Amino acid sequence: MIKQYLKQAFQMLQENRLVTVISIAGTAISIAMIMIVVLVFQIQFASFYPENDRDRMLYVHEGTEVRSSNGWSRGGMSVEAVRECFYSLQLPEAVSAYALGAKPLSVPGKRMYKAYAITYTDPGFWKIFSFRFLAGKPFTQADMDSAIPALVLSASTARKIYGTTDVVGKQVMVDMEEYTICGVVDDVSRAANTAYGDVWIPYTTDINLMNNSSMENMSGWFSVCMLAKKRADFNPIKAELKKHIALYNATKQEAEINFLNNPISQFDVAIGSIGQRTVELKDYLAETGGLLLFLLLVPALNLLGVTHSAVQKRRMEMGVRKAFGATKGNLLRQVLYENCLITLLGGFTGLACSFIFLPLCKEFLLKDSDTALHGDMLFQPAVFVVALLFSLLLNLLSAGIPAARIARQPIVSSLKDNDVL
Amino acid sequence: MIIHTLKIIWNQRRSNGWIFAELLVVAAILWSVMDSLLVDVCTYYSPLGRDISNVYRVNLGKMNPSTSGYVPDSLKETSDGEDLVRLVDNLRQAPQVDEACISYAACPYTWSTAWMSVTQAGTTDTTEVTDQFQCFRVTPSYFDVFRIKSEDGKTLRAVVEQNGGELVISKDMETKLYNGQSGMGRKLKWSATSTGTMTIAAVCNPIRRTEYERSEPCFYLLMRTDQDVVEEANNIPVQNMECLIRMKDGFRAEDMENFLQGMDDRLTVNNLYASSVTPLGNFRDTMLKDRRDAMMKKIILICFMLLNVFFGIIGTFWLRTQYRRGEMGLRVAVGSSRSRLEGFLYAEGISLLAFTAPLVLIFIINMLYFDMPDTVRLPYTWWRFTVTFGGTFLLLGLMIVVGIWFPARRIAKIEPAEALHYE
Repeated sequence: MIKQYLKQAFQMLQENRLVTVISIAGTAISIAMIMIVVLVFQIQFASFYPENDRDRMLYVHEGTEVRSSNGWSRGGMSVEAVRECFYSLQLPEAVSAYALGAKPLSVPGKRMYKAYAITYTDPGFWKIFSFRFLAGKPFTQADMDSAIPALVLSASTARKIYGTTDVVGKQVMVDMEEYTICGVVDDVSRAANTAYGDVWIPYTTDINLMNNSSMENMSGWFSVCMLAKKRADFNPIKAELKKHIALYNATKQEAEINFLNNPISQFDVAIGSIGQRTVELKDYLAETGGLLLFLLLVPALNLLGVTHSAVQKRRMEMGVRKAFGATKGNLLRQVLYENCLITLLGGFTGLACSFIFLPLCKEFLLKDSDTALHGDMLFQPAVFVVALLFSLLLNLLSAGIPAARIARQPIVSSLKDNDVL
Repeated sequence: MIIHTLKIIWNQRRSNGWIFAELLVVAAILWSVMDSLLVDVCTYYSPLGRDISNVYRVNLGKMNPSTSGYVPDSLKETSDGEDLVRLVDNLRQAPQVDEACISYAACPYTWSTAWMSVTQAGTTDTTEVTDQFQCFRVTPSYFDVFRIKSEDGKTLRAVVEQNGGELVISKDMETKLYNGQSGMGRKLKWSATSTGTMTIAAVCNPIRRTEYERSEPCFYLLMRTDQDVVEEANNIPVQNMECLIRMKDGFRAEDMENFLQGMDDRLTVNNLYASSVTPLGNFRDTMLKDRRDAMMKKIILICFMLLNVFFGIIGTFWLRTQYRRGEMGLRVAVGSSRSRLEGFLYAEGISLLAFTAPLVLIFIINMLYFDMPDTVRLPYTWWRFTVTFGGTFLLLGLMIVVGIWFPARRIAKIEPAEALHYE
């Protein structure tokens, strides 16, 4: 039966080329827009190099609040707070503290002034993120403890400074300080919120940064990310953290630290939460859902008009089929199947368009315009399922009502080609 | 003709209903998007009050004790503030530099801001205005770096040098404090209880924080002498102070690296050094990105809606002319001209659109009643209504005409005899 419907549908498509093209194009644009919304979300949510375990990550990014009697301060935390509250946690697989900065790098003897994105961090960073080392290896806990000036460069940074990635063991100046390059990693896309950087330095080597704290040495410049052993550990980790916060606060005179709603998961980040501002899921759904509904509704109304006119044209045919015993369900299914072909063709074209459109328009679609897009950010199985789902929804919306109406029409009036109103 | 068109529309009400619903939704949303876009564009292109082209921020750094070249406190004879003044003097003397200044919480397009409350001094009036205003702490050269003008269009720095006084207030602040009277030479103080007063040396043009915001009252607190700078640097870490430079006209950003390397050791004064240099345009791009992106997304949304209207109209009318071939043929046969047939189609489409207008008007009135459109940045006037409402329907009308043009052309080719076959 389906084969018959498909045959018929193909005939219909060929018969009315302009309407076919318009229906497919209309569907394609709608699906393309919807998929771009979905893809932008996915780039925030899906795992890719080097943030390969995003589903197990927890973040406290600039989400520290320290309160005392004469005011409060929000932003990062001090090294001491990292040590007391986070390094001491037992449940997470790995914990890392980091502070961001921008300083120029240069080869010894020739001062340069172009600033690079620097992440001051600890060896836990390399456990959490799966960086591909092109040469050398990460700095170790021993380097960290004795503040040995070693650093890791991204491949493109190494090339900019030395013209090659074969630079392990060479010296590089960060502002006025001399460091030894211990490793070179593959470049990181901007879309990796935490792992992105040009240079990674053990934070113990920058005394000014370590000592730059206030509010009884609780607030400072550091943020924290953690890798849980499994997703189910999120709540136990938060509970453990609460205990550590209480213990830490007890050692202070009047300042009290808290981490607002942090730590947050990658899902929270994807729906727009950041350290100091939490976006509730229902708000996100209301906003994005409204947009998606609009992107779906307008083309659906559009296609409704077209399908209605198309179905009207075939009323007599339907009447004949009914007269020979086709049931309502039969006719309904036929119209839906036929329309399904159009929607699927449109959906596929739309998905393809979104893959083309997104890189072209990433400048204003993504948070950072120079984000490099990789295949693993875009081509996830979920994307195809979502595209199919939206296409079918569009099909049901645009063809369901005319089909239901025609199936309900009395045989006589169909045969007479009367519009029953 | 009109009644006839209405009859045709009514007889086609099933499929017209969907088109009408689409037009209604699209017209309402198109109006909202156009209105907010208009506000954005108008705000974007009104004067900013300053010029950041060719202005750079010199990011300052302070050495760690472990750095080679670090001067320990015991050997240092100057304060951090004096080092800063010397560093900025070194920059100013370079031939490529037009002007250099020192400031705090005054670098445009950054989140570092300071707010101070001020009140009028000398009046015994108890209703005097006390309010919080944004405060920029700057050296007078700041006005040359940003080419800020006084309210009467003169170079602000010249006016400041002529008059005595610690303050420069913006036109908005003058209006707020003195209700249209001149503020020049008047006195202000920090609070009702503070003893010292400050004199207003000049009034400058309104200053806007970014291209997307309207101007807010604000004032400049002047650091006229080096001594003032040194005192300021005693209170805040010197590396948090801002050093801004304007390069000479014609200087290209690519030459910055060479210029800095040419400066060599003049960029280090004791433990203070110039770490890197950022064009202010970069700060602006970062800060405005969200708003600019939103503007682009609105434009894309408008295109999406228009395209959909076009597709909907062309599809529906195409099928309809096919379906109503018999009727059309009959009309031609009994003497209707082809242009009249086409006219009916256009009239049908445009009428559909026209019917949405009253409903959209009700929608707009409701929106205005609940104060949903942005009236802070741009007051709601008749011209704003005309531009957005007229623009919405003009765009939609255009799409409808283009969409009907294809099917209408087909009708023109119809042969009465052939068409009558279908009847």
